[in-house]
Amino acid sequence: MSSSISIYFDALCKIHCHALKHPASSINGLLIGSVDKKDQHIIVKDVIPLFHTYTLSPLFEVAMIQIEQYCRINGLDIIGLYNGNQNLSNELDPEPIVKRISDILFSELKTMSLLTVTKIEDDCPSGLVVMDKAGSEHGWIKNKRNVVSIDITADNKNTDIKRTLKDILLQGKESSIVDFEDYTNNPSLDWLNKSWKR
Amino acid sequence: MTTELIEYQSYHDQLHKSRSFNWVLVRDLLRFLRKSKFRKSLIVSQYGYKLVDQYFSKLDPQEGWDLLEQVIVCCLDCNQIEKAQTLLNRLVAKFTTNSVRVKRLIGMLYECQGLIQEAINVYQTILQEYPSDSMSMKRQISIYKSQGIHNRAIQLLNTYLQIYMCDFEAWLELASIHINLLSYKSALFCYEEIILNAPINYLFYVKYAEISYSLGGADNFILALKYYTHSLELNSPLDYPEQDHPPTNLPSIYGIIMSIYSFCESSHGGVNKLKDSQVNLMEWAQKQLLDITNQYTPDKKDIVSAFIKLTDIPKKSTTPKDVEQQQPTIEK
Repeated sequence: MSSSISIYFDALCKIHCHALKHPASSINGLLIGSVDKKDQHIIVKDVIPLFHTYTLSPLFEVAMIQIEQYCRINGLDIIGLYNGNQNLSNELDPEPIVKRISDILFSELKTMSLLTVTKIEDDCPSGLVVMDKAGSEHGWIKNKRNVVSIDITADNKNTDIKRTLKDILLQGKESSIVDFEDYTNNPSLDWLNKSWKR
Repeated sequence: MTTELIEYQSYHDQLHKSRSFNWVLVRDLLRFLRKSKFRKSLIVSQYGYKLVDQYFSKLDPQEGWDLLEQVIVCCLDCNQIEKAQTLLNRLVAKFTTNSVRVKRLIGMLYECQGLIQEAINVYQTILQEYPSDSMSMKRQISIYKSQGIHNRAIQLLNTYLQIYMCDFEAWLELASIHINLLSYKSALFCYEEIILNAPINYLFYVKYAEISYSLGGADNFILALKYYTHSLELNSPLDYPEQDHPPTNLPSIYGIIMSIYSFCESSHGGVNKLKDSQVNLMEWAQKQLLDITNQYTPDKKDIVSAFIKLTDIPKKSTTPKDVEQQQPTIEK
């Protein structure tokens, strides 16, 4: 498990935009970045949105193989998973499939994190909750101590996530976030979201 | 589906481009959304509210009330309770609370406010009066689903489906709950019903294949392969050059590659158990995938080629007689 997690501002925006684009369904995606070997500090540099309806094995495996390849070319690592639940009533209890994927990632990577999208509030400025593996099998619960800090070293202009998201929503830009599932329905879309700007 | 998506996108772009409020455009968008049943609540609550608030007199009276109902539902979806309440008051003034449609909206307002028990009571009163009101039954099911009480939702859905067996959207809902709970066998059964109801929709064959693949095991990989192939018969990338939209059935092409690869890797499978036709299918899928990538996303060529290389199957060990026929195709 990691001791601390920080996330680039653009990556954070992408997670929330993916969630906002599909308010009625559960979403998930991969966290890409690097791990500081010394103090197990996770830096999330980018995210790759994956699915917004069902997460089923065949396309998930395809996505994983391709993303691994992408990471190898660009010197990045897969460092975890993010998800947003369909229901508000149990938003901090990830879906069974997310838990299963996290279990596999955890046993492969050791240092990884599962982030869950929640409300952006003062005591949770990033709108992300760190989930920790609980003792029993398939158990993932909220980590009370750890918070996601927003890393603004990459770009330091606007760091108010709430205001940024409001701007994005007013301009309808959240709908241009593309996930892997969108790509399989329309191969001309770029699931890396290279050209996406907030 | 895809043409509708394109149509929606054009509405979306026009709306965000136009500076002033174009009420005709918004009306047409709302009309389109009612017909296509897309769930675009944010945009409807944003623009639709202004339409029914300020331009109501310009609308056709009958359509105006329909629009009001549509906007209320979308406002509730976006947690804009006050807006919904204002509009609902207008409906109550016009139709009184005796109307079932108004009652149902009141129930939905309760749901949005978190007053779950009150909402259930409203729906039950409707059902006592009109036992066949399927919409109210569905609302009850969705309440249990939203509360995370999946068992109760499944139970109610099963009761519902005993009456309305042909409602394939309800089967889809049941399947989605089963998929969520990872009970893929039950989900497969639901999709069998769905395919019986809509036998020419390629998408359901793709989903059936994906669930079957998720179950795992050599037999299920081959079953998945069959369904993927059939979905390609219904929606083939070869049909696309004449259309101006890129092919939409990439899941099946990927699915074929993954099914055959996984079959070869699994303990009861193996490359030698594959039929020649299946080996040919694999080559066809790989070629299609490369062609599509070259045409639409050339920047991902490296990633996709690496994917194909990783999931490639070893050569089938053939008897000397077959070698001559097989060699050229496999080389390619």
